[in-house]
Amino acid sequence: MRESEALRAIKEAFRRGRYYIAPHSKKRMSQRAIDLNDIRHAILGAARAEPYADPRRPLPPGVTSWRVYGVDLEDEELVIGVDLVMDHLGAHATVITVF
Amino acid sequence: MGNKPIFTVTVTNVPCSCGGTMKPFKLVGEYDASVELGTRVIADGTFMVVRCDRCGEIALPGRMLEVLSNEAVLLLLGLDRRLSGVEARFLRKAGMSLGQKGLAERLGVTRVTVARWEAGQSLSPEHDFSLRSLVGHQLLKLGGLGIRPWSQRRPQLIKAVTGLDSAKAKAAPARPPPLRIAA
Repeated sequence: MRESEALRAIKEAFRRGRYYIAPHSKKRMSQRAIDLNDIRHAILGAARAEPYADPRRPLPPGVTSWRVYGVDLEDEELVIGVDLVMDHLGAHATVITVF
Repeated sequence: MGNKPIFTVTVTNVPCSCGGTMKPFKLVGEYDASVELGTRVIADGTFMVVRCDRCGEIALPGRMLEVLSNEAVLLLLGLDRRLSGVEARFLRKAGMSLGQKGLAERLGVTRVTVARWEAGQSLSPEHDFSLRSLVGHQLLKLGGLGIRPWSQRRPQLIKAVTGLDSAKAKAAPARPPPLRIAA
């Protein structure tokens, strides 16, 4: 999957409410003092995504992982790690971390 | 939240950050959504969530979080006391999708003033009234344009906005209780 396709699919997942905030990313959100509104704003307005490979976390078949570059509601850069799955209902995203 | 469902929520198996798999799970009881929403919110009821089969952690589907966020906005608009700083920040972000600068421009104050409200314990009667009126009218306008969920929540919004006929005398307590939402 190309970066532009992945970004489009991640945005679609967020527009349709088909996403989770994973437990680890909740900890990071708390540390960074950001919330769901910042995450949504950053992802829906993001202009760039690139593949994100973490050797400690092998991905199951059908799952791709991406770094999404956006800005929060205060216009500060926010880089978000997102797992993307395409299932029978379309795109589904999981926010796995906030950098 | 009423009898009529606002959204259909579908849960999907996805990988957890611990290496396990998040699988559909019926949660009966309370879910603390304070971290996700940025203000103290506890939802009570029965939810379809996902739970990791390895670490046991739970996550709520995004659409459900958005429903809780909208319900929390309605509760805050109708509070019988002034907003705390944290609640004001939540209302700005969830109700208006604005940064501090954007809200300051709308209200004709400086960004520093907005930052000061949000760092404080309780808003002044004037600022509390301005913020709630702005958010309420903005959401009513979105409902008028047919934008969900505010088109479906128009009666509740009208009730909350028409209740804003005067500034609230009662300040926010030092530690406001969490907003409780029956789901």
